Amino acid sequence: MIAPDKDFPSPGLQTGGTPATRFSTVELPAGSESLEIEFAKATAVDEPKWLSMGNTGAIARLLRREPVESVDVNQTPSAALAVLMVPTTGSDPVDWVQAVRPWVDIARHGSLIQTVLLTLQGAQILWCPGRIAVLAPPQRMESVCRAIVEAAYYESELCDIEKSIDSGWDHLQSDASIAFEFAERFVGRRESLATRFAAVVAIRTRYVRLMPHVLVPHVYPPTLASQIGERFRERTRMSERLDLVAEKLEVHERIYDLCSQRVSEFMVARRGHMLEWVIIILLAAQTILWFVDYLSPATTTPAVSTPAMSTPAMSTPAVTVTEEAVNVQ
Amino acid sequence: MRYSSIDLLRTFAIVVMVFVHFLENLSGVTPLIAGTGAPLFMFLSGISYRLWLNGQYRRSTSETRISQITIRRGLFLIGLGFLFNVFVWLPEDAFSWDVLTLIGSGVIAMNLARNLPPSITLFACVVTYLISPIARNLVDWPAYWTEHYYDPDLTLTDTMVGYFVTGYFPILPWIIYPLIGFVTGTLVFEPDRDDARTPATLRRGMFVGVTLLGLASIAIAVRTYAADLLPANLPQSWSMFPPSLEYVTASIGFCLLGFCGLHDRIDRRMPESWLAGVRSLAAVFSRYSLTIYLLHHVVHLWPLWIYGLMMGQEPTEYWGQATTPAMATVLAILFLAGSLLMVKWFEKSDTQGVEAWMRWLCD
Repeated sequence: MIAPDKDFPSPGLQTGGTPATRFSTVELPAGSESLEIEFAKATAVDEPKWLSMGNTGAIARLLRREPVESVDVNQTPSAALAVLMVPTTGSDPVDWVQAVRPWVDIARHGSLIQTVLLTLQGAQILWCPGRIAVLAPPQRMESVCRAIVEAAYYESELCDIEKSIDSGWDHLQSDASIAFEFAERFVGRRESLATRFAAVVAIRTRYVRLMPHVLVPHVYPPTLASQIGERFRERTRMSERLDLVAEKLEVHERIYDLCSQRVSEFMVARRGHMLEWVIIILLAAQTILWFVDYLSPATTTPAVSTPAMSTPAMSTPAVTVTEEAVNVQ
Repeated sequence: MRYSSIDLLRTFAIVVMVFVHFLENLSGVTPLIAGTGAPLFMFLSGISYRLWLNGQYRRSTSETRISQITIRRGLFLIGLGFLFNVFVWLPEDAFSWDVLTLIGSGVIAMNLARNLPPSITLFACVVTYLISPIARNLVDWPAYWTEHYYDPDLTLTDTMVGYFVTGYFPILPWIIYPLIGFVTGTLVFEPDRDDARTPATLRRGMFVGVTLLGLASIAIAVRTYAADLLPANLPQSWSMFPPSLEYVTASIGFCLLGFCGLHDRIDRRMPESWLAGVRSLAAVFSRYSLTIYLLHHVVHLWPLWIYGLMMGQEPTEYWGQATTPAMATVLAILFLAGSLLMVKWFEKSDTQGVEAWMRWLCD
């Protein structure tokens, strides 16, 4: 059981080490299990999966499942989702929620996200992004576990969408001018614009596929699993966050939709202008050659020089004739 | 952001021009490296314009403002070119159309090119390249270069022909150097960050450079070894004045290979601490390249003109025969050392060069 610090002594506590390297382990009751789960895209129908996430196209794969007797609360969380299943009877002398809470809390990484505690029909669940502790009677353990893992997946998906949108604000601002007018100098940015446009479409797709799982109406008659999902969505305010995401996404879509239109129009016009420019350049070359030819001495000189060159030849016979005429006289 | 590759290449261009001009004007000898400096200088003006343009776009400068600054800078360089011709080469050479007037025209042309697809600019360059020999043939280019230098009449016709075809650096075909530099800069640098897009872009640039050098070499070899099979009236195979097709091809290949190769090796792969001294030296030379270009002419030509007048002769009497090639080389080295000290002092004392005047007047 528990052990984070000396102010919180509990049965089963083991502490040790120097203040800097303090470790704490929690002794767990018999039958406790540790699971490591990875969310992935479903690639094949017959792929082994632990849980299917409805029409989101994702599955939960079980990477590891093993019985545990104790956990180290200072253990660094791994990339996969860690689930601790602690079977309880309802009359345990130990407050298991407080005991395993530090193990869940450490996944917060100092962020403002609060660990969520759900209590329903004798089942208690502690959730933090990346870690879940399920304390439930053994006969309900599996269904509770699957329900919270599924809900946690939807929350992580929403969180990922929020992060993706928020990381794009700077790009959006720099691309906003293109939504008004595209010019030759932006041609080099076409690829990045196309990438961002595709990213926004991908986010919208993920959003639309996620939405039915967040805005799902309450199931009647309610089951423990359905109630866990509903309560978890309420506690993590997924419905309100979904509305906010829709608003943000609309701004991104509007800008990149306009950008894609401007780019498309410009590139079509540009292709058409290419031929015009080729013709203009050829005409300009012809004009320059004509102009140079017009200015060249070869064109202008003959008109002036020809008479001067021919004068002696023309005048010689005239002189001869005159001399002959004189002789005759 | 400064790129050592550009600084090194511009320093190389300046050093080559200093040596070539000192040797040609003082001793009448044209060294083998002649013809590599000016094309590189013009090509780098195109790349620098692209980098400047990217900076303006990042600062969200309006299109109108960019056009205003660009055209003012172009006109400044053209005006400076005329002043340079009048005061350095004497008034009768006011319209000799030197490299500054060409770069000024190139800057104005780049203002048009910046709104065109790079492929169109390249097409314009190819057309310019191809019509240049035709234009030279039309105007009888040799008639303007009877004494191995450009000698036009001071008429409007000759002035116009000089600007387009027969001058030292006429529009046909020299305008293609700044334009190809600009297109290279557009293709190499990311507009947002000025980093090279991908190493593949630079490799493609190097490949094109090597290909152009190879084509020029093949053309020269064919002209040399199979001269009997070719018409006798073909223009000279390798010449800078007029720029033969082989020369233009090879010099563009050299510029592309030099820039893409150095940018890939030095700017992308080499740590900044490597060759720090050489880089800093090149950066200083590059920053004041225009000032040094103007100054080196003044330093070696004015004494030549003054001495000619003092001897009671034409100012240009001793042009090309003032001293020996060895002495001219020593003088060029002394000038470079002196100019290095000068620009270092410029930096320390916050003295501005011609480049700063241009920014003050045009920006």
